[in-house]
Amino acid sequence: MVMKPSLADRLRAVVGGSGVPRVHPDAASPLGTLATVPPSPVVSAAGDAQEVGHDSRRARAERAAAILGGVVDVRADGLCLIVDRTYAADERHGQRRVGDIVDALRQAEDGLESLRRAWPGVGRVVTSTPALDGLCVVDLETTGLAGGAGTQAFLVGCARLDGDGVHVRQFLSPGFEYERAQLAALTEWMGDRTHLLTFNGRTFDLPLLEMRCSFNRVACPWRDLPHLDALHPARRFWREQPALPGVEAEDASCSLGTIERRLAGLHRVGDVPGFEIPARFFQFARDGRAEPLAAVLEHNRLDLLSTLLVAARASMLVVRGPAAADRGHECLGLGRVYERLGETAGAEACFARAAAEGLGVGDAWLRAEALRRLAMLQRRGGRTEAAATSWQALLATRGAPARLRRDAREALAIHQEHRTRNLDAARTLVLDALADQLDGRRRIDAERRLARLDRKLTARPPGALMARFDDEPF
Amino acid sequence: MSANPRPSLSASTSLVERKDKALHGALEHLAPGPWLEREDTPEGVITAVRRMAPVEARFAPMPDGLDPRLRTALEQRGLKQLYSHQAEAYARVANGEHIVVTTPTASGKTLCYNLPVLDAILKDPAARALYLFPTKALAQDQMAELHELTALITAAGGDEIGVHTYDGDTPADARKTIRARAHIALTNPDMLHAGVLPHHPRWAKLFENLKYVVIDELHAYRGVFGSHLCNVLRRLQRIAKHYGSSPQFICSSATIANPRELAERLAEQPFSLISESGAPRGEKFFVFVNPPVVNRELGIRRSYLAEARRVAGEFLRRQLQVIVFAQSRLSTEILTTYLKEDFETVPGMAEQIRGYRGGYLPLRRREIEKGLRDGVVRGVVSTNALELGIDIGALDVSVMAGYPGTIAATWQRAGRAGRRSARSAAVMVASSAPVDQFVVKHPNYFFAASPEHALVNPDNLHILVDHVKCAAFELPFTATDTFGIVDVQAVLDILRENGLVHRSGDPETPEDGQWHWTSESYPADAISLRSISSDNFVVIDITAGSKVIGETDFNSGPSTLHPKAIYLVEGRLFQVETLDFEGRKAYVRQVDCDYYTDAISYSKVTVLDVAAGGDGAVATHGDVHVSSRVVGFKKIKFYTNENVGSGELDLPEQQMHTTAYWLGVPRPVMQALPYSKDEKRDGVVGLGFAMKHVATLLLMCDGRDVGLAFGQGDDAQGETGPVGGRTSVPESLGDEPRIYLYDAFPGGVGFSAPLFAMHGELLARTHDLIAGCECDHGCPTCVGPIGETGPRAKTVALRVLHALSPASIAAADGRSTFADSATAQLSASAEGSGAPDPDVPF
Repeated sequence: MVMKPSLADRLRAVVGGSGVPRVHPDAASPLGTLATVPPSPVVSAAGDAQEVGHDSRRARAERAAAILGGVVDVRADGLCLIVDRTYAADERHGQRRVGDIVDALRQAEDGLESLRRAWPGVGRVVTSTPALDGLCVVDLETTGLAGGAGTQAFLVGCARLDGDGVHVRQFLSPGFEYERAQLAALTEWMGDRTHLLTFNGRTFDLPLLEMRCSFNRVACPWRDLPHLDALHPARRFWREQPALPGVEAEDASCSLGTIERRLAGLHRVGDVPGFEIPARFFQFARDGRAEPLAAVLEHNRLDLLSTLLVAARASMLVVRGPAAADRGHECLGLGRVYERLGETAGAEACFARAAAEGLGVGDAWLRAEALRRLAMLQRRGGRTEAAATSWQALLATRGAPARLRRDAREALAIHQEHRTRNLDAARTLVLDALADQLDGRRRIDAERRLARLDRKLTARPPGALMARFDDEPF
Repeated sequence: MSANPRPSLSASTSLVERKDKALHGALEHLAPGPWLEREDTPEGVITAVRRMAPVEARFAPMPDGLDPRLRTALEQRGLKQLYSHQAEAYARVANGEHIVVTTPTASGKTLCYNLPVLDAILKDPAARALYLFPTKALAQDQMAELHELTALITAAGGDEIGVHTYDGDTPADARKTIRARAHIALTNPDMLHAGVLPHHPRWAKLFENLKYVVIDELHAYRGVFGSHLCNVLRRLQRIAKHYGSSPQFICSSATIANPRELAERLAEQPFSLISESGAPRGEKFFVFVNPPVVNRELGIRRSYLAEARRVAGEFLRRQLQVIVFAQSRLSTEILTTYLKEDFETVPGMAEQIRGYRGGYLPLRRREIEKGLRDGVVRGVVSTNALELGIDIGALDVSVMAGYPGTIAATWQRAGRAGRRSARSAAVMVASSAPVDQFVVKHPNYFFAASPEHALVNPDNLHILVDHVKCAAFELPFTATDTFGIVDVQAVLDILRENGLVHRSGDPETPEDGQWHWTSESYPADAISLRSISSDNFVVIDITAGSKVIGETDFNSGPSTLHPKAIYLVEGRLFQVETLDFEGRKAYVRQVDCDYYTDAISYSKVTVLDVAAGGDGAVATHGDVHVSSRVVGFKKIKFYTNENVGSGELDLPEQQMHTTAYWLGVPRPVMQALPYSKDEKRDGVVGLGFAMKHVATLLLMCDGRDVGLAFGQGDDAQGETGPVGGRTSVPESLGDEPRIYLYDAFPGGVGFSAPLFAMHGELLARTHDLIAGCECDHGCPTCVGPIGETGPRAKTVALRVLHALSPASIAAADGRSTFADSATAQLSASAEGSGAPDPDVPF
């Protein structure tokens, strides 16, 4: 008989091999190479307690603060590590001066307000325009991306305008047990903030913070503050249409990294990849070594500045109008933002300009999409002739996506049947449409239209009908 | 709620009369007696006919304390009084007890929990309740019923009561509203595990005010699923405690032997049992059919599927609505094909005969359920997927192709036919499987015995560790927390070694320390409650393009989706072209052939630890290591079941640590047998074959839940042995052979200890099975097919049994009830109107 394994051995076999990568302690400098230790054995058999030794929690936090350039906030409910960093106007974010970003934002304050109106938060009614100085940019670094009660925001980064520069304050939890203290310190500082700016905060950062607050059963300080998630305008302005041949996946993405490269020519050096961030914090929680976190804090600060940059550029575009757009896609995006805001005239101008640019640079998708949106606006405004002209222009665009061509044919068929009453032209359009790949609903509609047109046509003198049939593409 | 006593049935009397007549016609045609028309009837094709007399209702007044608005709402539904068990449930819940209600299908079980829950919410609008159903479909059903009632309550001046399902189908944008507004959230254990508990801060309102947890179909939670559920409930109660609530449990269960024990095991709270139903029921006939023997020497009976097809046909032809339960996905598909052939519809018309099983896509399943309720579908062939309370209306007849494996499941399936007043019938057609033959020939075992025990093993380390991970993610463990009987601090320490948790706190005061989750993963995502490993295989049809047509759990993947296997979906045949084991995908192509495939697997058992027995004892149980592998397959022709070919396979080995019961035949017993070495081996193999089947009967489990292997002496490298019926036998077993019956789930779900405790009964029943079989030298019904076990297998197996346990065998021989009861019952009740059997747990 074989010896029965001990409980610990059986547990080891059951848990086996699911270790998580650990960050090598030498990975301190943001430029240093990052080594991950093989998963097994990831932790020495001795307990974490021994690893920490008799080091007191306070002294450990102090040491981390020294390494990260911060201070320890000793509070009744625990410890919080606070790291301040001020960016003067002459410092650079990529190729941009920080001062220019701040300046642009101040000049385009109305634009920021418009964007917030275009994407109002759920259940939040903004009654007054908050002053720009009450702005708070928020970005979290978390122990995971999936959310849920076991995901903590170990680092909360906040940025505010500070004269012509930017002030960043980061709240770092020095260990799992200090989350409440971290949230309390954050709440205090948030006291005079009047509105929020994030990148993807609507679905990620803010719900997660709210979850952390309700987990710790503390009031959530930003619950009712007006909030702009800059991801939404960013998508309109800077995401190219996806899955088009020739477009790299990277260009179609709308990540902050892609946008900051485009808007500020920023290429991060030694940036810590997002997937590695949780592991660095876990390692810090275990052994107290803060060096690997330095790069995480830097990453977070850059994200905050880039979020400001995105908001500044987007607000500028809204204030200055189509003339300020430097690419057709930006112009198209701006039109869509105006559309959301109900500024039809502005939207039309943007779409017309984007369509013209699409023709100029030979971008069929851009031209077709701009014309489609233009046509729909015109029709909604009752200018059916103008709309028909736009649809015609779309159909005449070489290389326009099939989906848009279908829309155009359908719209034109309706126009010809009901407005100009050119039944033959309508019939030709329907037949063209039917020759195309059509899905269920559209095919049924097209077949119905054809039948109706045929009924109407047979009511006319046969001679005329036959004469016309000769031209039909049978 | 559907249990309201209706004042009159006059409106539908003619329909009832027509159906009664049709039912009688069909039964008469099946049963022997003066209507003998079938040439194959004489030797006891019908082994039992029982009539369950209609039962009158027992009522109790509405409880005094009931909220007047609820009372008004109930009155508007025609409910002025309660059935006695409903009143008892209300009283006990009001008294603060956790309760488990076991009353039959259609006895108004749901009101047992809806009544106290709605009453509590009306009295305190902050109160919350969580309902758990084993499937999404059941939750949908129940929501519809609750909505009807809450609408009446609102009309009676009550506040709006929010009732919402919350499951994988709930749209993301509706979830927030539901979390805020649901007084009653209806969900399933899987969603609770992966979608609610890990997000408990979002559900703070629910957990702060959680008054009731309702668990419907409690009996469904046994084995692996039950072991998981227990851990989910541990997590639930841990979180509730964190928010300052301690909910009361209200459970309902089909009839099993240990409902209270199961409830107490699952919720780890003391329970009161309510088992006396006050509901009325209609007259019902229960018939056992044993297909006739066609080759006595080989013990071959007519195919039970063909017999089930004939039986179902008798009812379908008479315009009765029939549900046919088959044993496996495969036989479901085969029977669907048969019945579709018999009752072909005009092309273009809705199909009258449908198949139904897990692995079909949800939309198709919903469509079939609706078809059954509307009567468009006249016959459905299903696996146990329709055994639970999905609303398919009241059908007229339930035909079981093969014994469902447990007494509880048989009653549950029989309950799918017939409601309160109408007459209905259930027919069980036995297959030639040993268990079936045992039951069909010993009807009293079924009709008089108490149903089986539901077993769980929540402290199975594989399962436990998974849930400790989830629990640590949800709330940090303290240094003094417990979680079941295994030392959770030890579990956490191993998780720490793997970097999954971190122990925080000052090392000088370790008792203040807490265990925090330190992995970016979301542990619940990787853990399925339905299996020990969450893996599964997807089946992709590449006949034209590529389309997912089904899925199969990891354990049965190799045996059903091996290369060249035939895979069936609603009677269509597909052949597996490639099995991507690593990618967990099987690519299939539609084929037209006249056979299906059956896999052969081998397994090897190594003893790790003896829990009881050992040291030369005949019976032992303990921990074992099992490695098993699918090594080949046979091609079996449809209709005739001829073996028309075979193939070899080379698939990866699956290994596990589990528990086993084993029988060691002592050397003197083996040596005293006057047979050759090969004959002795055949006898032991045959004995194992029969024991395995009796074990599944006693354990209330599926044949696949128990593995069979053979070994020799204390040799840890024991011989390889066959699993399942279709295979060759080990070369040699030596003088001290062992028969291992192991728990087929990694870590075990609690079968071995009970089996060890039932050792005597196991041997006696095995003796009954083998000795009672009509075959001459062994057949698939007792010791295995003669071609595979040799001509002396039956004799040797019986000799071994006599030598091992003369006392219990003698006792079994003395039990006269079994041998004669079938015929006695038959003559007493062949008229279809015999006296009701007082022992029937109907």
